[in-house]
Amino acid sequence: MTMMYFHVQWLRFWHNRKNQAVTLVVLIATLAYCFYSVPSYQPTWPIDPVTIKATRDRRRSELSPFSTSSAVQDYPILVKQATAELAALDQKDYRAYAAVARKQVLYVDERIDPMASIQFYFYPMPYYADDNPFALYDGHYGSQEIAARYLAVSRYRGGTVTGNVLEERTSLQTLQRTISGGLTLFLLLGAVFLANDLVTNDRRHRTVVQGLPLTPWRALTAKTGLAWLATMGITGGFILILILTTVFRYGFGSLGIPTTLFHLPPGRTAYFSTTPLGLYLAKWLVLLALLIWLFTRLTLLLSILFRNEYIPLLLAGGAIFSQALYLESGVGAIKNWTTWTLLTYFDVGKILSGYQKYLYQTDQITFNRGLLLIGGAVLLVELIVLLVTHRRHFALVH
Amino acid sequence: MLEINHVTVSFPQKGHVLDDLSLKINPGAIVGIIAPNGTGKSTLLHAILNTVHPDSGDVVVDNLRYTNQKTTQQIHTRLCAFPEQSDLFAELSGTTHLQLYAKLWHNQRTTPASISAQLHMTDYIDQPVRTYSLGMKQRLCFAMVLASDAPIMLLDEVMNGLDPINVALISAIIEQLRTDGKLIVIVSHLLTNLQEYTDRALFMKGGKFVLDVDMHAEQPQYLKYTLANPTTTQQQFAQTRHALVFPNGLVALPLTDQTDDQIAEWLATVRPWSATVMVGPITLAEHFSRLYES
Repeated sequence: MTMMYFHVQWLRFWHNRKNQAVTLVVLIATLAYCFYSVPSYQPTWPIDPVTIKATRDRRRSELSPFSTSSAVQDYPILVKQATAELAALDQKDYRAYAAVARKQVLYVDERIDPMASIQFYFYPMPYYADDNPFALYDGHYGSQEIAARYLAVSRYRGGTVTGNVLEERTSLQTLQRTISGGLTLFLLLGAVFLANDLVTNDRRHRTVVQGLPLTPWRALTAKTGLAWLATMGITGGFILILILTTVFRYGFGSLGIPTTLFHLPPGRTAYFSTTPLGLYLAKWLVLLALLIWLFTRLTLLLSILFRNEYIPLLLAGGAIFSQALYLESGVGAIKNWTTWTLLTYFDVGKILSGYQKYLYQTDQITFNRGLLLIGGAVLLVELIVLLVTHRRHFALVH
Repeated sequence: MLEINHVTVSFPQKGHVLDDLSLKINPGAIVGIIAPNGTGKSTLLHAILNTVHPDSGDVVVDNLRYTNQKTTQQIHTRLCAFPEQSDLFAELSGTTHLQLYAKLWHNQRTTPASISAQLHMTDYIDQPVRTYSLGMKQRLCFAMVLASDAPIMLLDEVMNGLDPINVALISAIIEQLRTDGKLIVIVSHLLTNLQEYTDRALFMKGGKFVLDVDMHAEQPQYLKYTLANPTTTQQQFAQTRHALVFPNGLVALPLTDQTDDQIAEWLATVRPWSATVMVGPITLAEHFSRLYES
């Protein structure tokens, strides 16, 4: 019975001009991203034998009895490491390259002191772009992250390690980078756009739908399921296009490839651990599925309460990006409530990579707490929906 | 069984649209609700459907009341209202509309295909509704009610926009529905058509039923003639014989308890006054004229 209602809603959903427009915009954005942004991606830590060789040769030539003491101490080691890197690359042994490159990254990182007035070594240039005041901190974070990942990759035995794997260019890694870059927020915005008029549109078909022998809760759940499925479908379409446009050039990658997770234990040194990429993606899918359900349900609830499709768009859409109202570097260390605020957990990619911990400077922003808060919010919204739709004279269509 | 118990519905600035209205209808009956536009007929159907909530009184369907969402759903499985054609889903086919109603009302008796064949809609039923003419949409709306196969059917202006052939077709189906045991509440302005099949006609005025005509009871006979501008003599003749005088000039002399000689005398008197003189009961259209034409 409900399936037929769902079927008709589904047909109506895709005949809706606004939904067609949203889907088209997502498709165009996906194609633009896959054909322009992805190919132009430049890793912060590129594998560049020409630069490695040039830097090595320069350092080698600069070594003389008149060199600074640090150069005398460091350059032989760096030259030796660069030579090992070049040899590994020459043999296309990327595990060996990762192992030695890790050592060099850590070696340089140890010699950059954010408190010093003069620096003899530098992190890759992207960290200094736009006069970034946190360049040295971000560079340190990046160095530790790449060192942890290179170490794990050098020990990875689950498949072939290529340059594309190290530079995170494979299909699955590109997906992960996209997720870490904020994909979740845009998918949630899409969910809100798809759901905002699902209830109010019925007003144009009042006499057809108002007498249906279906409780409002069931009808609303069918609508929620529909918008949820549509958004998950759009997500699947995005992933499919992303894979098709990258797999032949960079390879598919593997679910076992290590990916990093930042930790900031209180009173101890920050560090990175690694987890299989498949686990990262699975956790993302779980939180994404919950969040899409939450935002779809919330949007429908708001459209019932306000009997309007624009207010839910503003409120639910605004909530997605409302973290900006209180986010500033290190805020979590000062204001603990921010780690218990649901808005902090919408950008799931950053939660899963631990980057949110780095931004907030607290170890408390975790997948588990995100799951707890999002799950709690889902239950709360479900309870409100239950109370609203079970009122004696409640009707979805007025 | 459908019961309406002392239902009062009022709207701001309109007062009581339904005023302490009561009604009881058993299955296997067609009940016509008759009144001019804006006098509460549709409000009555909305109250039955619970899309308008009474200020007082209640609606009972098979001993179920609208007390919560569960009973509302249970009642709605027992009744189906005729939708408005402007509310149809323009991009969806007629078949989809029929399937929706058939599935939601668990219709096991008829199929959308058989219903569309019965209403001669087979040629276009799979086309999007936006391609339909007004008459085709009206037939689809009726077909949707048929697809529900609900025990109680609320038909509001079902004959609107239909040609005489389709009026006859739908009238025949409505009569068949009665034979099948359906309870049909029909609101219509086609009173001559309604006269053909309705079992009971209820005239509404001021939020109340002002006339309840049992179409199966023996109807009193009248000698009916029309006078455009009656003279004083003609008016006195009618008045002394307790005639019903209608705003449109119709005069009806009650023949109950009159002898054949008396009737023959009246006939001889009125024949020179009017071109059309006939004997029969008061029709629904004539009741309508008497009650609502000023």
